Amino acid sequence: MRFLLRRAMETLLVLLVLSVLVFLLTSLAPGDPAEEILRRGGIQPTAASIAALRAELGLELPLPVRYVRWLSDVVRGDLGLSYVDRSPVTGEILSRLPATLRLAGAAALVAAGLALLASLRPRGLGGRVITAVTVVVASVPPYIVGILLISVVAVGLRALPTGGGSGPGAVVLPALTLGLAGAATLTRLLRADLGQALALPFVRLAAAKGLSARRAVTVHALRVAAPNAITAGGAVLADLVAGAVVVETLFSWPGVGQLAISAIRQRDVPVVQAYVLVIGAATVLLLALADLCLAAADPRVRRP
Amino acid sequence: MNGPDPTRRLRSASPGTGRAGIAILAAIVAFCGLAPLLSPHDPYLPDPALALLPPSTRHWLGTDQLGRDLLTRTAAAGAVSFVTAFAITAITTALGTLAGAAAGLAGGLPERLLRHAATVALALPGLTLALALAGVLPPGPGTMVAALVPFGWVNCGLVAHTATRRVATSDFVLATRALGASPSYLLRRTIGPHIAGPVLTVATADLARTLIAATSLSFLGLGLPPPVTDWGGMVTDAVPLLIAAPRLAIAPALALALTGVAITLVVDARRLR
Repeated sequence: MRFLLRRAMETLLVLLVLSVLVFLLTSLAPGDPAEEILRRGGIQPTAASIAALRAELGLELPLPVRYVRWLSDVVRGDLGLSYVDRSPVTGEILSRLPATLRLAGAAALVAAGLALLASLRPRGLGGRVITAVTVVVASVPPYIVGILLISVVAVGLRALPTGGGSGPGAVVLPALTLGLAGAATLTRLLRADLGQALALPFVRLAAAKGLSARRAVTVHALRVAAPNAITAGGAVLADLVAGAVVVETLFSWPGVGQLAISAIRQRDVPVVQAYVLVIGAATVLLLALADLCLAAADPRVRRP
Repeated sequence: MNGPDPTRRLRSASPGTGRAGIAILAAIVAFCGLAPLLSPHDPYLPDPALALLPPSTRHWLGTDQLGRDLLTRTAAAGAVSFVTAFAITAITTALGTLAGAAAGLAGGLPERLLRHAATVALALPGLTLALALAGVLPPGPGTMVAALVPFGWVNCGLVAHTATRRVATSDFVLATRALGASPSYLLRRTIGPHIAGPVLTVATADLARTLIAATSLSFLGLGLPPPVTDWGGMVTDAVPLLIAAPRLAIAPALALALTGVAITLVVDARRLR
């Protein structure tokens, strides 16, 4: 219980820091938001109209007051209005989020599948190939992997589409690109831990007493090897969600990442802010969730 | 650790991997540094008459969509990538090492503050925040530093801190202290040499991470303003022509991939020692 409380407080603190940083983005952006909004609305800004809009947006208030107002809006699900077309940002993010989650989910399946395959049969051909590939992929940015995949699979073999969000095959290359990066971390850890776990006396005893190799691995060894993999799994999942922006851009995948990049090109600060807040909060919460799973799986963690 | 680490044999498949990594890296750095100087072609001057020429004896890798020699351009972009990554890593390493060692030596409140700052920085999504900063600030070298430094110091900071703690209470440090050495002398002469090894290993790993992060920002169009570009920017420019001329993307992609793998070989060899 004390562990839960402490972890919850920590998570809350990190979320607060994140919200302050995201809030400060608006003040870092060059230019006056009120002038920006008027100009984008096709109105020639005058001193009077700028002053009126500034008052309406509450820009004259001191920074801490503005932060509290903004945060209470955010907590109620209101992420503000886009500079470009004055539409609510929340709706736009929500309509794009499923595509990003679909991509991250598919990538997570790829990562977990490859890591398990490489760890359970480390001596097999598949295990060796996956390990070699993931070692290389781990030191290369994901978009480079994507470019090479597109060149070989989509352009060379004409086997799959190069991008876009439609069609059942469209998710394969982006998910593979993103998933390979995650598989690299997971494979490294799981292989090492599983190798150690398989050498433990009680696992060897179980195997000696006639337990099938498959059950010895899945029932006994995987449980011993799980803690590090769970921690890494949370971090990998968080990386997949955050890293999706690069893969979405390369494959024109219609997720929040692509929304953020086009918002950045148009200097649409509220949309950028919302993207960072949503992806950032997801990252923080995934890491916290992994910690909770770890505490459930391994009681030693709960002790301070 | 109980028993032999099964990945150990795997990662040090041959004993010379670390040296091979250094050799590859040196070759790439030499290529990036020298090729633009020796080449008869200008990496930045467009010439529409020469656009998209296939590889030939005059242009070994052919030319890009603006008629610039692809080989020279890849080297010039590589030089930009390396300068950026080295400069940012130097800043984060210096900051992290200084903060970590100072906190480890001071103990008490500074130490707790450093640990808390590191915990928060590690829990925050660094790349996403870097992306937002790079997107909101005007493009340029200063923005690149502002985007990548705030979250880049953490690893070096933590390692320097742990390593400093380990030697801070040893007799020779206490003796030097008792002789009246100032904290800055202690850090430079007594602590410094003892924490240099682990810090250098982390700094090398950070170099790879910074290279990936910086070129990723360029790939997203948030790097240095044109015409100067790095490997990430070259890949972005090549994406629309991926089907017509895949070599435009593959040249910088392979160069970057090779660099990343070479650094990993060096880091792994250092870690195993």
